[in-house]
Amino acid sequence: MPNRFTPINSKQDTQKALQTINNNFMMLDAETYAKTISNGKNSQMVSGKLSNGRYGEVFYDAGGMPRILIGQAPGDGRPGIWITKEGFNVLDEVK
Amino acid sequence: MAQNLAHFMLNSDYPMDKVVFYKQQQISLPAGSSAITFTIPHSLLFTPLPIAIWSEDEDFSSVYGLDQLVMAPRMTLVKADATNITVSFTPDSGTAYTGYLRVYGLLPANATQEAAPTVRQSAKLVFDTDKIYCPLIFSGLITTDFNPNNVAKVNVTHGYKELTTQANRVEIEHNLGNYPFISFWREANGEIKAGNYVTFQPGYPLQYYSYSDIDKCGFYCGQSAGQDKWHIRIYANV
Repeated sequence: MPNRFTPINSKQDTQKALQTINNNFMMLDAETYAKTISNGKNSQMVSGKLSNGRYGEVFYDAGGMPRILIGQAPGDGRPGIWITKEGFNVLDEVK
Repeated sequence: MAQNLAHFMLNSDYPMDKVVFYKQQQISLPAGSSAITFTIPHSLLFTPLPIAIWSEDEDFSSVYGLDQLVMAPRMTLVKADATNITVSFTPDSGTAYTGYLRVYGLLPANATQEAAPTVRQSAKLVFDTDKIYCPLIFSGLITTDFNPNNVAKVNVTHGYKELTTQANRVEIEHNLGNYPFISFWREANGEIKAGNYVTFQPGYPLQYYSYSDIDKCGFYCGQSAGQDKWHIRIYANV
């Protein structure tokens, strides 16, 4: 599988297979709150519930720095669009 | 903790200017001494805040603003009324010039009427974050009364309050810790005139020019007396 779910081996015992299924469901469940898109090395964007408890979409630059926030401000949840200059973490700069 | 606006390219906590009119045209500035005036209909339902720049190059690789240079030709007047934007030049006495004029109209803070979209008149990219968008930290229409006993401040930090002004000057307290850019227009007799940003020009008495400091900014209003209306824009230093 190209993504993060673990395939079930046909030769696995039932207990192991159930554990894998549950783990896959846990990952799927988590993605109903936040979806992280990665290029395999760094996060490229996050959509959903952010680490600060607010909701929105965050886009990262090539160096892994969060630079664009579309959604709720960390401080009071006001909606908006914020884009920082290179070198500044938008999640830290928006109050 | 306050946000550091210098760290942002775009910050929707602050409004940005809305360009409601845009036009570029070629102009001829023949040699002589008589003022040359270009009248450009804007077709808006209100009087916009006019801005004009001109260049000798069609790609605007060089740009001159209002009354910017101690040379001729000089763009000496930019004003708007309910129908037109008018731009006047003082030509060079001995040399004819061909130039290019760009005129912008900004939405005044007190305008409530609709305006036709301008995006197709100007750039290919409507919204381009390769460019920095100056956040407006103050935008408004104030009335001044040039009574020498009055002292004016518009306190940006505490709710954009309009206060009174000292004679011939509008001063605004911002307490930002850096130098914002202030732009202003005078509204009188149904016209809105762009401010004059000349800082020193021998032989020409200064009437309107702006200044900026780390805790306050403002502009001088020349010899005006009585009550005047001023459209003011203050942009954070980005």
